[in-house]
Amino acid sequence: MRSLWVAGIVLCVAARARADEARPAASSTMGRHLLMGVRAFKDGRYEEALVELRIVARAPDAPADLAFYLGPTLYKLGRHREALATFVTSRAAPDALTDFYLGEACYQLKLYRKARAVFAGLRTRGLGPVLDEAAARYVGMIDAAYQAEPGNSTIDYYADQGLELAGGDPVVAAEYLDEARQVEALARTRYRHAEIVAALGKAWNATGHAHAVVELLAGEPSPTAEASWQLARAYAALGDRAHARPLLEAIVNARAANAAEAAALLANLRP
Amino acid sequence: MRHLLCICAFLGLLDARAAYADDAHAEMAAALAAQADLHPAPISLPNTAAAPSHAAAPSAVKRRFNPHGAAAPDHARAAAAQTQSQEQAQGASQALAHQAQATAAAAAGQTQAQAAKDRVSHPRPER
Repeated sequence: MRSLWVAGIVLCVAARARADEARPAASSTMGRHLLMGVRAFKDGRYEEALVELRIVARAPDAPADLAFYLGPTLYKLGRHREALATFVTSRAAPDALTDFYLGEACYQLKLYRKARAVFAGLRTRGLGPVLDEAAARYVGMIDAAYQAEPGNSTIDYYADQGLELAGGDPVVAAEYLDEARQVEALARTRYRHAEIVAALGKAWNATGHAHAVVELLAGEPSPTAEASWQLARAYAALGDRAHARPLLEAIVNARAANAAEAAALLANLRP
Repeated sequence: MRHLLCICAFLGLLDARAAYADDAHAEMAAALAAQADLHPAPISLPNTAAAPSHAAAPSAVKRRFNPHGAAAPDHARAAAAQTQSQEQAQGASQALAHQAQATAAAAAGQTQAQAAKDRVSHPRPER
């Protein structure tokens, strides 16, 4: 019996030693690809890094913080939209370096309000001196660009990009539409506001952000039919019958564009 | 007692796997910090007459990005920024070429993926 205990302890120590001394020859296939991806990234071989990380992504034991590896790799390859989608859909805990690259991806995509929020947030939470100075430079550049009030053509740019992407890529579309909303809020007069918030609500509903839709649309003073429909969908998704039912009934009674879908949703609401 | 032994061995293997993840994370963190773009290019607000929606900024690879660029001198960065702005100005005419490159890269990626799978399926003997 004693020898069994000794054998167990030896096994533990051996496993640890193997991890410490022979990590490239990892017993885990996923771990091996992850390390190969990291080392390719380190050497600037981003295409190779992406190949390895895609294999990791398909593994059943892929790390929860895959965006930490994959997002910056896509960013370095100039695939900024994919990088952004990777970052914003990640469920890993916030990480300063990942967020720094998120800010960079936003900056490259001209999503400057979002980039500013990311970099300012990072500075508040605390960064090392080099990255903090860089974050300050990003914030400074964006503030300089926004010294003048944004014009309608800038709002058009973001709204149109968001609407164009909405069908195929609701995650990135939502980012553009949210940028449009934030830029529009800086403008002196309202411009395409109702259209932007309704489209944003639709994109957020499509990506499972019902809480955000409620926060966005519940306080709208005069929502469009589309905004009401998106708000109703969000309430229904959250199981808030008290708010969903009157909205859905109004849509059905008005025989609005989404009346059939509203009726189906109403029928499915639990009593 | 055998169960205890099994648990002990399992914990040992878990420990090894966690160590791989820690190792990769630490290496990646160092690489990310070293390769972050510390000097943003000046911007102007976009408008509807701006670049076409699919014209992304040129990739780091196409810009011949130096992975140790954080240590690059400012004039090199300025040159890179100038090149970038020139490339952006070429706009839509490059879109088709970019698409062709992407197709070729995808094909190359598939080949690399297969090679990577082969490497894992047939690992080199340890020395």
